[in-house]
Amino acid sequence: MEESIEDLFRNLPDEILGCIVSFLPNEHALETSLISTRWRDLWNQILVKHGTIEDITGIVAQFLTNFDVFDPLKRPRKLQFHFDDDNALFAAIAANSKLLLDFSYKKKKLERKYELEFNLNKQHFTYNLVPQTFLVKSLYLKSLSYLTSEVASSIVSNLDHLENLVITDCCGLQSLFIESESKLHKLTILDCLQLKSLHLRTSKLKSFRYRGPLPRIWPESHFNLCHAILDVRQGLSCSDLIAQDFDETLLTIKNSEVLTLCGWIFEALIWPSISPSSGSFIFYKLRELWWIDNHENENSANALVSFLKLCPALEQLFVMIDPKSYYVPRSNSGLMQANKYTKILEQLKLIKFMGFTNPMDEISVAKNLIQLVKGKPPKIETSCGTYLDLMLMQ
Amino acid sequence: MAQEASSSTSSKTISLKTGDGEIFEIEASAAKQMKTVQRLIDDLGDDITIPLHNVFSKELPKIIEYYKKDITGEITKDFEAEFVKDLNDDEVKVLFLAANYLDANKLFEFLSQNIADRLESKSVEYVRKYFGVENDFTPEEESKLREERAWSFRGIKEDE
Repeated sequence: MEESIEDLFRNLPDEILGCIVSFLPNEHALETSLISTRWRDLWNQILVKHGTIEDITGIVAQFLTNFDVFDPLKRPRKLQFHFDDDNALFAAIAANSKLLLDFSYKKKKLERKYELEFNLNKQHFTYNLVPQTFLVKSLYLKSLSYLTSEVASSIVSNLDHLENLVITDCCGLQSLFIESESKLHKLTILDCLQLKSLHLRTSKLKSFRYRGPLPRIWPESHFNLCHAILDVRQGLSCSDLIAQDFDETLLTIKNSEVLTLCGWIFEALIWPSISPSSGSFIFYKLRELWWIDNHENENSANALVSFLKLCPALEQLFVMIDPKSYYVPRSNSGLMQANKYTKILEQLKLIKFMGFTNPMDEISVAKNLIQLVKGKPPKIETSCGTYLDLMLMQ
Repeated sequence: MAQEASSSTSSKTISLKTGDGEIFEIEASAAKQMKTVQRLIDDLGDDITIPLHNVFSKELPKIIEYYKKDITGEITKDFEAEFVKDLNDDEVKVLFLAANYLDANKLFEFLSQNIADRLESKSVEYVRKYFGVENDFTPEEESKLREERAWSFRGIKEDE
């Protein structure tokens, strides 16, 4: 019986399918991994090499040099480099000058603690006279460990044009120092659960996103963030951190336009520093605020009201309740005074609640917040997507 | 001694017989580009009609047209665009399978690119149908995979 076109097509071997996939632009190629279990890894037409850990820096440099940005189909965009007995690095190049270095082969979690230094200021002579056509502007580093930390340092120090650095899932990373006084604009650190110390000499930094327990942060050269996320629901990394230790970081977020903050940071680390001079520390430019708190915290509403009094330009407020978020138990931070309401929010257009389980709580918080609003009341969206009309609630 | 002007391959033609019994002529230099055909020539000699069981009279002329242009160095972007312009999905698939069978590298890569272009903006489900593939992920596997992939590149792109 003659096979139909469909049958013939279905029975194409992996190499052929992989060839078609390799002609898709990166993000679309990635999507093909969802087609079926057989297609899961076809997009990974990978250049596979073997060697030792010492070879990695050279191999990655060569991988970057060989990548012809004008003819990306001819050279490998993906590299899987096997080293040691059972370890591998996956490197990939993506659109918009992105480089991914994923060390999470076989999901090994090596717990041994280590420190990391990224020095992007070094003046160094370019050894290779072959001009690099591919300049890495965004680097995504995943799952470093004590074994691969030096390699990562050495690779990063060669990326003169790096503007955006993302570091995730680095188990064992205790201390991180980054120096880049001219180019680095965006820094993202996610889920490095052992991080205790973050030292930044990054005077051009504009966007900082952090998720994990709060480490001791030292912004050595002051920078003014436009966009900051401090998602520290897991609490403190060092239990001896006091408000004073947070002052320099506070100065970096003071002029931000978009900010994500956990309630406990405000109560424990910000309020004690600014309350003596209350009224003079204002977040002048803040237009969008994401506030994360635990509703178990009795001070939660008071903390939010106190903070909002410092945000005259606020346009959008997102209040997220997470029952797993850390909160400061029964603090006597003087937030009780927050009951004095001044109508300071003239620009507020939207309040959105997320994660509330009890609608009565939303109404109660909304009633408090409305007292701060001057002029037209904002739209208030609840956790289930409906809109509150407080006039009806009175 | 006068050198005998050899009947060189420059003007020699090869006869190809399709799976449905039709015969087509191609230049020997074009045949060289189709590795399967060349292998058969090497085995059977170039005087015999080469049988191509898996290629049919519908698609072979189009393939021959492509390679005619190739040996004169006339393949341009415009020609390639014209070549695929009126082909529907099934026709492209048939040509692609034929190019694969004939081991005709240049045409194969060109058609791979064309298929990729046709699929580029389509959904995952569309691509599944195109290749006749069933989704055999469990819902858990699929959502886990989506989550993992979100971290690879989508995550960064959305931030910019």
